[in-house]
Amino acid sequence: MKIAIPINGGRIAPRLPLAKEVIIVEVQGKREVEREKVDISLLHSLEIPDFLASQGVTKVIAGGVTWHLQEMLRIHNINVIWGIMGAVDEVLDFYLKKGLQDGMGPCPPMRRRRRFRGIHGY
Amino acid sequence: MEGEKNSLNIILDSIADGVFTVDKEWRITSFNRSAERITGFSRSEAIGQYCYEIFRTNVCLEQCALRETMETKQNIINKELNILDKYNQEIPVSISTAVLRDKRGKIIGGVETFRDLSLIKELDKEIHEKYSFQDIISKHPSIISIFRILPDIARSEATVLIQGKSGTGKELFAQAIHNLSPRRERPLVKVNCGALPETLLESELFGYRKGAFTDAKRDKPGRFQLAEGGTIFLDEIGDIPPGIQAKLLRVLEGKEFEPLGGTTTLKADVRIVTATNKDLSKLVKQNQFRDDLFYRLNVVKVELPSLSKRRTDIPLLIEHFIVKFNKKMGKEIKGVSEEVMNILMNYAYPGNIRELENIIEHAFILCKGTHILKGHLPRYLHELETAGPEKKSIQKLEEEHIIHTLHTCGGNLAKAAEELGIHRTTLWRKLKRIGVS
Repeated sequence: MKIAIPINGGRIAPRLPLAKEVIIVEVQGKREVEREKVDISLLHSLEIPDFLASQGVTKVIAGGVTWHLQEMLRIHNINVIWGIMGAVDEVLDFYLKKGLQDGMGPCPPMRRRRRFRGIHGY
Repeated sequence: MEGEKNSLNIILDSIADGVFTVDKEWRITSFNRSAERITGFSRSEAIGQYCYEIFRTNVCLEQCALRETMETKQNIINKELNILDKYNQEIPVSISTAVLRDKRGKIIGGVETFRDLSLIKELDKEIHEKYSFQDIISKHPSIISIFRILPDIARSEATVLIQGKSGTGKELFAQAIHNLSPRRERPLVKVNCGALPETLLESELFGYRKGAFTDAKRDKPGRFQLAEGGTIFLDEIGDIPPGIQAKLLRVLEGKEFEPLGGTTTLKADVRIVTATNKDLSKLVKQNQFRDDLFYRLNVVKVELPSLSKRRTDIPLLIEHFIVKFNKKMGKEIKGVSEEVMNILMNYAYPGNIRELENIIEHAFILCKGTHILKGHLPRYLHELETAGPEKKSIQKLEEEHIIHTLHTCGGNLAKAAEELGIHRTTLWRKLKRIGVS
């Protein structure tokens, strides 16, 4: 399976059309076997689904993706996991180990901060 | 110190605009309640994250307003863009940015405030849809009444004659008729009959066979053949010479024609829409236009008023052209100054809507700010403003239009409101302002 991760710098691009590059990762089972960085800065956002499909991509892990663009990706048989934030390696690692969900936000998820309430509690 | 911070948070949470602050690393340090409501992200989700991963605008990273402010130390006010909320909905917002300094004046970060424009954009869209039809913009009763009958005209197979001065939008109406007709999947072929000499026009319309004349090296299909199954739009029909008038009459009567130099008759399954800026009935009286052809063409007549007769459309058209040229030229012009509006409302427009479009395009080239000013207009309009004998304010024009409409409706408020395309209470409020009881 080939997964595409639209990026900006080392992090997932906040919106798919803002990505300058996309990392295409080939995964077998829970193992990454190949990785390629592709420049998509000259593509119009509506050309991205067609382009990714042509590269054999069947899954996209992204930040924000409009419903319209999600629909276009689905038409090209590309499944989208949206609403993910974080550094590419951490996100990919988390995905392979535990999986990701739509709208998950920061990845790995932030630990809930316990509010310090003093040594005597309330 | 803690008390001050709490008070600040209470103030921020009580305002309707979204507000967030960032440190110098672009990490969000505060996020008010309206920011939560507009973006869908909770404060706990937002704080500590990069601003561009929460407040996801269409210009993030490359043309970030906050970055620009931090670099130039200049505030940005009311820049319109869109954000993607947590659930991937695009929300139009207006943003303003400023730098944050500590007590010693050292920059410690930035603040961005943003206002949800969804409702305003929705209302804009509603107004636009209400007053637009197939790319034609108007709220004038005479055009609205054409909008109402245009689908029926389009569905019929009748020949249509569109009459109107140059620049009144005849071609747009022809396009609308074609788009709404059952022939819309087939071509719409446009011919400007006034632009071609007689021999060329004949070969253009009906085509020619190889050897028809010296340069006819091979068969060439005419516009009627190219429009097969669709519509042919013959603009400036009043300019066609008598010889072609006869041939056109034959197409209208028998749906057939012969190409130049041809011996076989071709069938023409083509709907004919014509337009002219001349009074064809006058040309008939002067024996310059065949009466039988005139009656054939004049089955359905659509008369387009000149722009000077539909002045209430001028602000709407200005807005339409501003949107159009903003997109075309990548500018962010928001409108025209009051002075410019007065000039444009009082000008006679011999070139009609096309002239207004050219004026706005001219102003766009010169305008570097957010509003078109007098200096951006073509020079001939500068003189008009000072010398114009019939200079009237928009308000005055509106008052006159309301009173006129009320008069034609026999004083019936409901009818007048409908005619004006405004709510009855709005008309009431306007009449109250004018002083008409």
